[in-house]
Amino acid sequence: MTDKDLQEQMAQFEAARITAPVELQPQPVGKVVAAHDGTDQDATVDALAKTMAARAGCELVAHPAKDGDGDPLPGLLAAAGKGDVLVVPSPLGRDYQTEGQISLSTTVDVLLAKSEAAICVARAPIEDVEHTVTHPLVALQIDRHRKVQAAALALTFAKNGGEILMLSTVDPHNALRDEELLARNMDPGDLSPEILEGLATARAAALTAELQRHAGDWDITPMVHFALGDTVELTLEENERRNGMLVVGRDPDARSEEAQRARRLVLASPAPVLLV
Amino acid sequence: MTLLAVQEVEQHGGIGSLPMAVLGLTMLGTYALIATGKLHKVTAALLGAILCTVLGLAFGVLHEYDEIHHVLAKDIGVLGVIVGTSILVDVSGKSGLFQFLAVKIAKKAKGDPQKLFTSLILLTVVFVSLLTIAPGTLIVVSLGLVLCRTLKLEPKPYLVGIAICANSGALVTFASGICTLMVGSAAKLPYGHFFIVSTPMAIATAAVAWFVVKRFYREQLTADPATAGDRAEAVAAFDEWAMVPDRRMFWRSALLLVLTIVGFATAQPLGIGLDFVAMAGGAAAILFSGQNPEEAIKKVNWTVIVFFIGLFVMIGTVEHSGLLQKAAGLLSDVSGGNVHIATVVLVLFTAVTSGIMDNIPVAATMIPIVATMTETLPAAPLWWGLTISANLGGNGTPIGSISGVIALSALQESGGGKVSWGEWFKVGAVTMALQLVVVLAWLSMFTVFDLYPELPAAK
Repeated sequence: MTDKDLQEQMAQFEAARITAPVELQPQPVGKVVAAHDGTDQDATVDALAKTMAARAGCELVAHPAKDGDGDPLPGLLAAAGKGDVLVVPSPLGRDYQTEGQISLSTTVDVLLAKSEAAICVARAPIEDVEHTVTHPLVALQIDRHRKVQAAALALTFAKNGGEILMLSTVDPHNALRDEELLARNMDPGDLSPEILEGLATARAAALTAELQRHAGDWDITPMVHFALGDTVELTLEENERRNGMLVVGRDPDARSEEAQRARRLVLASPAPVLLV
Repeated sequence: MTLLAVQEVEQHGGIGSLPMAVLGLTMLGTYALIATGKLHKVTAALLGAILCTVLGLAFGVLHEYDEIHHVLAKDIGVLGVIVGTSILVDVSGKSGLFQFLAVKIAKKAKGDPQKLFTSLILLTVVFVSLLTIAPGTLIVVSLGLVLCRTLKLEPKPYLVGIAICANSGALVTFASGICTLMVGSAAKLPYGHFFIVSTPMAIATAAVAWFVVKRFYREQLTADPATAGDRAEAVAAFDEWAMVPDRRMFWRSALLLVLTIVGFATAQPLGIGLDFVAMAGGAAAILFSGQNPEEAIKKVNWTVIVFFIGLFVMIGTVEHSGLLQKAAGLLSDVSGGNVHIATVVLVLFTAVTSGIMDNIPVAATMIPIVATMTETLPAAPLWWGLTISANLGGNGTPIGSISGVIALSALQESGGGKVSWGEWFKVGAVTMALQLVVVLAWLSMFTVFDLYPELPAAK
């Protein structure tokens, strides 16, 4: 029994003191729009959109994103609005296998900045779409300001028998720039792994409490994992065997750190990423 | 076993007083190193074991090295229980089960200092009884410190109360404390008998501690009534569900703990060892939790295991010399063959020595002594007396038990102040003295009215 054990245990109890509780409800979805680009990614987009619409209990609409040589962007922006989910292949109109890790495509980049709908970026072909959609992984620190919205939409697809995993991370290399740590006036010398894990626990505490309390009502299996390291790498690593859909917050300002992190995650992820 | 050791010694021409004296001094020297902290207890125990083995072979106390393995084989069950329960406790700890219960119960106090004190004492006894002293104490100490910080209360009374009551929690069941486990295994005390003899003492001695500590720190256990609303609000902000990372693991851990306790209770009638139940519980915990086995195994208290190995080898060698049997004869002589006097002498001696140094070596040394005494005196009062006094003796000094060490170092580290030996003597030693009065009265009642459940015949 060491001082570290004590620190770790105390950090857990401290995290359980929730000063800003959240109210979580499954986010209603207006419609799911499947954007086709005429490539072999259409099958993946269709399967994802169909399953998502069925899980959300809403209308499914097909939208030909690449119809002729015109700019697909205005059509896509008009096809899905606030409260909808737009399922879009990336890179749009290009081959995922050869270019998927290089570019999201300009259209997808602009959609992420301008669309009012939640964007589900389809990536590699999916073996079991039902499993992927009903086992979302919510990466809380991709954009922590929108983590509640991300969790609410993930809940829509996971409820009635699914499993939702929330990943709360702290990057020790960036800890000294971390707003939440700065707010606590912590001495950099005190930033032990136990303290940082405590912060990861605290960041997820309000959502954890809400999800666990209502897990029975929503018929979901909620899980929370805490990890120290680079958020994007940890998210990909955690999802490697799990094969769930990644759900993250989305900052419309493409220059922000959050938006860059989300973009990096989408580029590297073979699993679909739902940006809320 | 001890009689056999003496017979073996006699068959080989007897052991002179010189080897006994040298081995005895080596053992006492080791204990002095442990008590004074000159060497880490594990290093001291291993050094003692090495010296005793070499001296035992040189003096002919051990005829061949293999006898050391026979000595260890006798106690392998204790080590198995420690390993198995450590894994199970680690997995349950990570499931948030105990943290959930701790927050839920502590919230009932609504920030009232006295009610919070009672809640933490209750939690300590229950958690230690299920998790053993170190992990049980750690959870309640951590919660106590966080709550005191939140409520701006002085943590000392709470942590002292937790430290003292943890030793009562160790008396609840066969597997609640390491000393309890050691004595219970050596004496083959049936699991169910604990609920008749030992559990009531756990409750009674915890009540004594609750009363004494609360009275001693009565001024610190108050708060301005005007702030009652703020305190209630601050405590209500703790959400027990935030402590549960995985609901499936939460319920599985609860089920595994219940099954392990049922397994412990039914092991002896079924003819299996508690170590088997503990190891099965630990294996099931790893299997069903999805946790990394490496992480769970790392949490096994290897310090205690290695400490035990050193102690068992050292004490086993000294036992082979016949010295402990002589000590048993001396204690029997002092009692004049009267079981009441023998119990009083045994309980007081064990409690005082357990307070001076770690209670584990005291229990380990006293086991062969008591085993010899039971050849001429009724066994039950002596075994139960040893079990209870070895645990409660830790309350005599701040370093007498692991719960005291954990709570007081946490108090100091968190800036909650120090508890001096003088202060501890006024609260801890007084508590221990009162607890021993209650225990001796209880044991005497069992002896006078012949209430002890019958122990299984020694094989």
